[in-house]
Amino acid sequence: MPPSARPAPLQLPPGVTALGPEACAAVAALVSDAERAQSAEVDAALQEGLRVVPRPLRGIARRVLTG
Amino acid sequence: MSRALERRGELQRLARVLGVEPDDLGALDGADVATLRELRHAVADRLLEQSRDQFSRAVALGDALPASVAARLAQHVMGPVLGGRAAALLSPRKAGELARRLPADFLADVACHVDVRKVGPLLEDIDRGTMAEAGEHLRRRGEWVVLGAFVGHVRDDVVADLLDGFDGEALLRSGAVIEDASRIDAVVAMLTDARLDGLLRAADEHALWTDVVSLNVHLCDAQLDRVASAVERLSGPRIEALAALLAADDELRAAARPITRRLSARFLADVAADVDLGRVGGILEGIPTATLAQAAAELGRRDAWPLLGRLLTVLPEDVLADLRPELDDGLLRRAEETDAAAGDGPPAGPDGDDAAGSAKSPPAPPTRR
Repeated sequence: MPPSARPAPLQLPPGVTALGPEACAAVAALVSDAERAQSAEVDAALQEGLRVVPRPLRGIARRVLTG
Repeated sequence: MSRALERRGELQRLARVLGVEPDDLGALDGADVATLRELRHAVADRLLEQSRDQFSRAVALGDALPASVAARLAQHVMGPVLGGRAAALLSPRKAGELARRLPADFLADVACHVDVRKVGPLLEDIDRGTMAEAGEHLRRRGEWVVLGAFVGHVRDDVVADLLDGFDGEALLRSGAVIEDASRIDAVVAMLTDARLDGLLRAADEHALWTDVVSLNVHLCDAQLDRVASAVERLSGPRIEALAALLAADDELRAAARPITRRLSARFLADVAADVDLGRVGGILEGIPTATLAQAAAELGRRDAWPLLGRLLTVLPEDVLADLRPELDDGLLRRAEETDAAAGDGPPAGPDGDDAAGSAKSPPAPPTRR
């Protein structure tokens, strides 16, 4: 995803922002790490998925996965 | 649920969503439970939206493939974390179909990562046996917070099936973290008296009385009556342990009032013979004056004058001041005379034994058995 298309940072609940900038930065970093991890895992899973699908069904599977 | 338990549960849920350990959430030390929950929901929504397109395609693929292949994909490719998140996009029919084909231990893994707000409607189509089996895996792993989250979203019959396999400790540990507190009364109502007894014994054996007491605030009168009856069925040493705990913790004692004020006069008369009266002040303090007066009269009817004398000795001054006008003068005089006559020697129980023990000894901390 190009940097310009990156979603805005998660808007933290007021109870978190009240904890101060350091806490907010730490939480934002945790959220960002979770997003990155999920993104990588999902991409890997969709690639791996094609290998699990029996060969005769792979064409259909590829069409579904690539849209 | 106590605040500390609620917070611990919420931190565990948030850590799961973020893929970290609860200890990694030190930055949120000052956040209250509502804030932690709000943050968890926001992060879960964010992660779902971030990958919604890919999750939708994975779900579409599952729809296009035979169910057995779709189940293999879910288990071996998506895995419990992504599978749990993508589950929010499944149709109830597909969720039921997949659940039937997936091993229970994998479903238990998935349960640790689903957002129950999103998958609640899907649970209707998953059969009771499958749910109970997955629940059993969660119980064996001690996933109380996960079990506690699901109780608010599954039917009563499914909860009843789950509870069937739980011992007292499991009942208590999962019950104490039920996320939807409005369900606690219904869950307690499902337990037989014998299971309620087991739950209280577990509270004593695993030092979990605080959890039991903190559940009280969510119980209606009928269930409070049953819990009070279960307390009355506890053995003397367990009563002493509970009372010592209540004596040492003002907040806990106040929270236990709905139970202690339901204890019967007969129980008090019986317990006076079974326990070290010096140790049960924490329970006696919450008992209504009328009940204490009835218990005193009962001890008088049993000719248990030394016990009555010692009971009056251990009552807090303000309670005793309220009680005195309620007692028959003769009863009071005889109890006091007998107590005085007993002097420093061993007190006599109702049958002439020394069951009252060292009634004037100071309260001691609970002993674990």
